[in-house]
Amino acid sequence: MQIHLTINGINKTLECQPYETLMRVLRREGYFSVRYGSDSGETGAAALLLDGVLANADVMLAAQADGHHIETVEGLSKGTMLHPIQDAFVRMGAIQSGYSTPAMILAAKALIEKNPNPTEAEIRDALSGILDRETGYIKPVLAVLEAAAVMRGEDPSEMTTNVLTPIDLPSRDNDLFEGGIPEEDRGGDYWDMGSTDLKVRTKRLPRFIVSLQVPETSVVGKPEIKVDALKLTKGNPAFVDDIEMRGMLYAALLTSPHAHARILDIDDSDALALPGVHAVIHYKNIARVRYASGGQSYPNPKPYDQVSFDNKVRHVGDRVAAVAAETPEIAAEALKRIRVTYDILPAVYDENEAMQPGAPVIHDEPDMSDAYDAQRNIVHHIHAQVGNVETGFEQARHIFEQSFYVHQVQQVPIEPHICIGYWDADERLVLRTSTQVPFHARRMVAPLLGLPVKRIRVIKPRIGGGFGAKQEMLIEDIVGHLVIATGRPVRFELTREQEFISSRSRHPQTIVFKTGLDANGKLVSQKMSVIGNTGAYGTHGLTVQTVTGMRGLSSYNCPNKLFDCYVVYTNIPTPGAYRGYGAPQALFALESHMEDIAIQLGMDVIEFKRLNWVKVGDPLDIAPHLGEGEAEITIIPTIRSSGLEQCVLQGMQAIGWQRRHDPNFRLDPARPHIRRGIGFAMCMHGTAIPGLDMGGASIKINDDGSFNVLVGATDLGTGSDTVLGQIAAEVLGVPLQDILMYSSDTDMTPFDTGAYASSTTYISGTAVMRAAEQVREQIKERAGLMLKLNDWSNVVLRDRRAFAPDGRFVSLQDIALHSLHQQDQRQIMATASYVSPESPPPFAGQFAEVEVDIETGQVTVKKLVMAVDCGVAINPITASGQVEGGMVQALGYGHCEEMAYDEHGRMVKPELSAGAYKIYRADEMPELEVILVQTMEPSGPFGAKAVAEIPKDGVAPALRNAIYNATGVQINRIPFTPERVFNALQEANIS
Amino acid sequence: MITAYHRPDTLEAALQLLTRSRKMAVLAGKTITDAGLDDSIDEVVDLQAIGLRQIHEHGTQHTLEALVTLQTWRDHAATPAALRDVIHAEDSFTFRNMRTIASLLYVPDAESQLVAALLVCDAVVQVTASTGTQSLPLARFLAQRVALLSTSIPTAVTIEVSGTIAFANVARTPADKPIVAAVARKTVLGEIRLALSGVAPMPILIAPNDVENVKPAGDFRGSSAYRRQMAITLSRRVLDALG
Repeated sequence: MQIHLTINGINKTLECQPYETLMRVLRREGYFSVRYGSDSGETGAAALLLDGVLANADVMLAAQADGHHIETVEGLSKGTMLHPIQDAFVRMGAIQSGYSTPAMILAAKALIEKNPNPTEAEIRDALSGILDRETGYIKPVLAVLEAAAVMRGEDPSEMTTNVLTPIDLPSRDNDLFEGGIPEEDRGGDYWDMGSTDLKVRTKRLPRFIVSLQVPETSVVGKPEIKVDALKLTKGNPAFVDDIEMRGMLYAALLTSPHAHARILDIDDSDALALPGVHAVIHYKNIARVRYASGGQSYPNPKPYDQVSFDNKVRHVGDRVAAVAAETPEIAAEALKRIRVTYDILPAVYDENEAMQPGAPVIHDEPDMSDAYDAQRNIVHHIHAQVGNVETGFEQARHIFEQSFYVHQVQQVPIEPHICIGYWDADERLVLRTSTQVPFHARRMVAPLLGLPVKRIRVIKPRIGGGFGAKQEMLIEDIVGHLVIATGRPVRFELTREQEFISSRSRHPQTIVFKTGLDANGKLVSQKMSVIGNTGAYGTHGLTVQTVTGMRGLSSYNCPNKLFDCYVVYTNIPTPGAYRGYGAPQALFALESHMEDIAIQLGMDVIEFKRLNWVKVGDPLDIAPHLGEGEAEITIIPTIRSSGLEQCVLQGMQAIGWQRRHDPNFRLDPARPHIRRGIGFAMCMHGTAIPGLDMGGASIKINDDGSFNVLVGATDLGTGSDTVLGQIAAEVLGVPLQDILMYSSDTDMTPFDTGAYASSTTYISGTAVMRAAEQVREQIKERAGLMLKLNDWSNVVLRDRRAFAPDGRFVSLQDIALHSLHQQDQRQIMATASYVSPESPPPFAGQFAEVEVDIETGQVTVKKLVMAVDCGVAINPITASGQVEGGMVQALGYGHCEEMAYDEHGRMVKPELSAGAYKIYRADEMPELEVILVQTMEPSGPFGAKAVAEIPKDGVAPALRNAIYNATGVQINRIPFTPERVFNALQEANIS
Repeated sequence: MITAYHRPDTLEAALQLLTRSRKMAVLAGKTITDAGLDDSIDEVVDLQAIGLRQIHEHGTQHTLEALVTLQTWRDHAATPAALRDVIHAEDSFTFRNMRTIASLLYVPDAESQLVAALLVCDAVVQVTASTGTQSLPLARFLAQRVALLSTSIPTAVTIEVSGTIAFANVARTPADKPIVAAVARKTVLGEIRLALSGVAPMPILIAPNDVENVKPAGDFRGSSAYRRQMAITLSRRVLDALG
């Protein structure tokens, strides 16, 4: 059928099918800013303006838009001139991956056109249909406020940091801030919100505590605009799917409806007979090559317990077959025509039950040889000890033991996994894929496809979030097999349901802490026992649990420590890497346990933790026993920088810690069923995997004195391209605009392990710094030649020039032209790589304020504060954005997100609709506050440590401890959903 | 799969199309998620061209034509504040733009606080078939919905907005769909209407004394026992609020 649309002011007549969505038709016409997030519209990634009103194009038929006016973000800007809203999103740092940025910009446009002076509440409402997994909504809200102000004629704001004064340690914490905190001391620079009906205030600037140890810099440490901001705010074709391929086929995946079954037969004849179907692949026609899918360094940690297609399924959502067809509809129809004969087997979902005698054996295949005890479903047994815990317990004055349970949650990147594969002109397989680990993916997929690594090129364009789910070789083999089978380009994208049940998630764990203390409250012995549920396959199962042990037994000094862990197969969809990687589980248990110990000992919680937490110079003595690599690290690392004390003090002030024992705060006379509380959790994470994570960088100068920086590092939207560019710019004495970043292409860029383990700034950043230092030396030498200096060692680069000690200078452009064209020609360029022997911990203090309805169990989170020591924040805007977004994900983990299953192992409501898997929206957020506490980490580039994962660690225990403070009830299982809290209150006779 | 799209200009034409095939679905808003599309559907009738976008006030009675969007209803000056809050809480802004009064009726949600609010406002649904128009209370419409919608189209909902409305709910987060919600209205004559969502396959009107007898189905957000207890607690709260 034909439809007539006005798109961005241009009349168009388009052909479409009656069943096609508006999103699909617009994307076919090249409007790539309208993006897929789900089939039911909840993500809002496909939002556009229909006759000036915000609407989701993924849940509208194209035919419904016939005769209407459509606006997409492609129509907003003229050339390089951005619309004020786009400009505000760029300047305010509101863009991370940028996947949903066009939708947010259009929501803002509709709002501001109707209401030039919107309140924060109105802005948050306007954004309420666009889920953001990255920013915590703070900077997008700021951007809309800023845009509205500029469009009203006000001057643009400058985005800078808000520097605060360090707080001195008081003699007693409970005396701190006696009488409350004067508003003028809170240090914030707030927007005037007008209406306060949401009772949320959004900070305009990140708060920042400066260290005097940090030298002055020009580009590093500054709130530079993201290097990819322009293309993201304009909706340019930057993501995997934003490409047109002639003759492309569409792949679809048939998944298991059973939690555990043997496939007796697959009959694909009807599917293959369907016109338009080009291939059907399954266990009968794909070679059986065992592998581990986790995107990790060579050799991948065992077990190698997966094959592309097996004759057994081990969870609902497991792979059965895949098809490639001319259209998505034909592919879907073909799936229905594949006849699978199953022998349904008993299933087990609980990690404790799976280890018991008589439990179904999940990996009983004859070629399974990597498991610790496959007959008991035990993949790994991890045992690490320092000192002797039994002796320690014998010497202890007090012993406490508690059990905790943490559940399964999904990463929910708004862009699902997607890969497009094709043969290039040299008949090499190109995989354009949404991955965090392009180099691992290439190496890992090669044997599955029977191709040498050199015949595969993996390209990672911009990706719409990953959070660990894409630290996996998850779908690239399917696409590769189908490209090989058909000779045609193939596109494959997971549906939102498949993203839940066929992708990866966070490991559930049962955790038991047993702790012995001396008479003064110092830890003398601590044992952490964990049973980790790795689901149907063992990917990341070993290393996630070792990180759990590392994080659980590193934060506090103790002479005797033991980590004992079983990693167990079950029939739930497979967990894997998820931002935080075992630490959020550990920290929930540890920080809850330490809170309870302090209270039972009658000690102040923070004094007790401070007495025991690690400080500069303390060893991380369990670390050598819990490494990821094959070889043990023999050197015991020590803490070389810590801002923890300042983080805690700043956080206490920001949350109003003194109120936690104030009856006027804790009780609400107008609402007698409400109790208020404040909780704290100390957080410590790692920075990269020592001895293993490696990043490479290559830098060359161009004719105009600009530089190409090629890195293997993978920017997920975190801003790593920007941060790495800032490091290069700082060393080379140029503005960031002179650095042209290109990343993550296995043909073009140096190797990098990928974006995980909070490694990019520290590892890849050091590689960039070293490459830049080499280039700097070459420039200095060339400047010496041009300025006729006998000694060029004292030449200094700044302001795009090389200065001799006598003040004479030559521009970098002249140096480039001289070097490339005029005399002793050579390309000024260098390559460097870096692997770190250590993993300096970032630290943080996480605080939460809650209200608990003791009649319903409903917990309402009012405020979260996180003060973070990430060393030197190379870019405080992107760093604070990481913390804001991470805190919101962590809030979901502790409060409302949950993969729930029925008795057959089917996930209940694998969707993002209200009442299903719940992600916080813009209009229901608690107040968030981020404070960056700067320290100088001597091993990091310009003093940097990690920031990406630590925000995931402390929210759940801080919420738990706040609920404890509010009600006196200890709840040792997350999430804190109303019925769980209600039942705990009932058991404690509190109502 | 949808093979034909129809956009009739009149209600009569829409009804003719509807009765022509049992494989026809009605698009009564901008989103296909409210149309009950499944593999059996191969044609859709889009009502967008037939009008029905007005809100009429007759004293304390408001008649909401079927294609009034939730956002339009929320923004309407005469919509009572409490009702406005319930409408606001029903959906995100984007979906409030896309969903209509009729959307609530085509795929009613067991946990819809807004449908519960309509019930306490004595909502009467006007349904038109080729044989004529009938009006029936919302509760009866919900009970007969499947049969009615196979041959007729809801064209308006009339509600009584006098009196005082109170609502309370329990949810995982402030904007999440309530696990259980209670909505009550005290009429100008002092009569009480109480409705609950989340305790039955559809939101229900219920006498305050019967609340203890509800037997909800449970799910992962709330067991049967929990939902029942919440029905009692939240009913008490809204009734207390009305005095």
